[in-house]
Amino acid sequence: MINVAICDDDLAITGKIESIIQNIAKKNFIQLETEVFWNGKQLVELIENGEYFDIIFLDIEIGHEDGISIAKRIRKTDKRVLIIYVTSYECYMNDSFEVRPFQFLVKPVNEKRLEACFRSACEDINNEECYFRYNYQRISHKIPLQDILYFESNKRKIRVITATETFELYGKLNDIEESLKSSKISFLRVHQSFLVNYRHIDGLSYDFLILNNGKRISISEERRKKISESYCAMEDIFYVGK
Amino acid sequence: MLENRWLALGLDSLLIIFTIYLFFEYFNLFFICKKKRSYIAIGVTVFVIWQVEILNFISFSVAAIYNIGVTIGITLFIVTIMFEGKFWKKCFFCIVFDAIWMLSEMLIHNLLLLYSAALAHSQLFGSFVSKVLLMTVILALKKVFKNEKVIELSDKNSFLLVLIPVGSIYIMSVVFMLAYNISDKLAKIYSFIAVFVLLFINVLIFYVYIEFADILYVKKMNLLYERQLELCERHQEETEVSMLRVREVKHNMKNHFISIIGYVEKREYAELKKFINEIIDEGNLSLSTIVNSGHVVVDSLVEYWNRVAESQEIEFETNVCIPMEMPFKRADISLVLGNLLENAVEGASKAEGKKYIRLKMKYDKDNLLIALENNYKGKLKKLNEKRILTTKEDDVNHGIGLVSVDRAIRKYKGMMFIDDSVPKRFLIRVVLYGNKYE
Repeated sequence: MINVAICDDDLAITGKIESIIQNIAKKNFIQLETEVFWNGKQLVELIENGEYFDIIFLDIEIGHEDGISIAKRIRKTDKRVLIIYVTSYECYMNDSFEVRPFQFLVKPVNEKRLEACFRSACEDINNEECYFRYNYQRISHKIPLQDILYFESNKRKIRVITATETFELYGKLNDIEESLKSSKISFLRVHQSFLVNYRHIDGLSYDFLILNNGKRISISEERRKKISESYCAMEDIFYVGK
Repeated sequence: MLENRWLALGLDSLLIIFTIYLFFEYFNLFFICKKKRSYIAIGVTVFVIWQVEILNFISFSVAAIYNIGVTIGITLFIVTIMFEGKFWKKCFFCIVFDAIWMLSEMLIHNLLLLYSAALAHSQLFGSFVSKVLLMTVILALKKVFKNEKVIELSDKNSFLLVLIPVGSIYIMSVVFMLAYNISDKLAKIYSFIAVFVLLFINVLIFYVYIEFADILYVKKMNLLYERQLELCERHQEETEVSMLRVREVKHNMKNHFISIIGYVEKREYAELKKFINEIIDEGNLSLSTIVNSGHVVVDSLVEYWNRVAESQEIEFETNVCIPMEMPFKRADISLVLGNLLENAVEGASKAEGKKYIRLKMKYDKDNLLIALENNYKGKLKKLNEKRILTTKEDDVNHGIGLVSVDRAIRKYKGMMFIDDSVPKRFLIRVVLYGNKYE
């Protein structure tokens, strides 16, 4: 089940987006729930009250409101939702990149592009249903992979850090790294003792990264090239005319 | 007696420390130290043991070849342990290092024999003076090799340069040896003059060499600037074209408005709606057809190469998501993107079958990511990871493309990755780090 919010003050646009994605969903047997908002305030309030969306189509200019500040407010509560900007001009503002948009769509909305964009978003969401399983003190545990910020090793102990909790287990970071390679969520080994979930990286430079909980981890020198390479490879999976 | 022994021991250890310093000074010029402390510790220990026990390792009773072999073997072992780099390169610099060292010792020995027989038998004094000489040579080399322009020169040139001091030291020691054996009184003066002439020539050659490096550097930079100028010119052309297009759109707009007034006056609203939709869809309202990111340099470059590609029947797909302002210099972006696109068009134009270029640009976390894909014909010639040799004839002019891209990227700590895992497909990925979090 995928929850989609469409936020635009232009009735024609919301209607068009809604009908296109409904059609795609039908074709691909995706269960879809759409909700249309004509102003950003309503959407933000709903999210702040705990409503969850997977994808938000957001106009950069909704009447007099500014879509970017709405996006920023949404990001404050929901770090995972995929935001797709719908805009009349391709001159993207610098600010709009701060909220990590998934993609930009230019009005008038091109059906092919929208479909490619929506498909890749769905793929992204479906990849999330994975768990990290381990045994500790003879009890087996599981943690949703997308919640894990990073793994940190200290001698034989490994700490698993999520946004809210920290877990401990015995093991080798190398083994964990190997086992996570098959999962769809990318983990980056940025340091001998750090394995970081790419999704939770807020800032990345050649020698360090910042996670969305503010934690700063440096990238060790011999791994920089490798990390840059995977970063490039990861970020170019956006769909050109597919 | 005891005091004397302590003094000797102290002097000995000072000399060894001095030697280690010289050793590092020299090899750091050409290699990078390994990161692991343990390797360095092992290397230094072996070095110290070797220095302390040197008389046990080397005896004058056996053939000189054996002694030289042992010396070079041990140096090579230490260097291999402590430094990164290719083995043959290490071999070369080890031999040169030992040659300089041995020759300077020989030179000092011969010199002392000639001028002061008493001092010639003091091992300590001889070893100290020869090390000072060694240091002078190394410092001179350092001065030359730290020069940025010299770094640009090929390895072959640097090898030749190192041979100059080695050869000179050899000649000098031969001169002194001959002077010692000849019982001519003037021999001392002649040999002394010979030393000065040789020294002068050495200094002169270094100057010439640096000058030579300078010229090569300027030549290379000129090529780069030429290319940049070309890009600027293209940009100018592009701006002119878009100016003309704006004029055309303005003109058309006027006509469209006249038609709209006509529809309104006739109250044909359905027709009016259709007409306006038509204008939106194809009325040249968006200025450039392919990308319109607002970033002038990117837009005009992509536009330009798109036209070139279309004229050669290459399919050109783009997905550009970048803001108008980025923390990178426009000149650098133009250099990187211009060169990459030129290469791509060039490569794709020679491909067989359906020719294509796919450009993706994304701005993410203050970093710029570029991925460019095209098909090509033939095989890539690879020099090493970073440099791909051009497949073109005139490789002096053409080989600089990716090199200059690499130089611009390095400014932003960025990197470039070439993926040629799929045959007939060339994929290059570039990342530039904006790095604003300091």
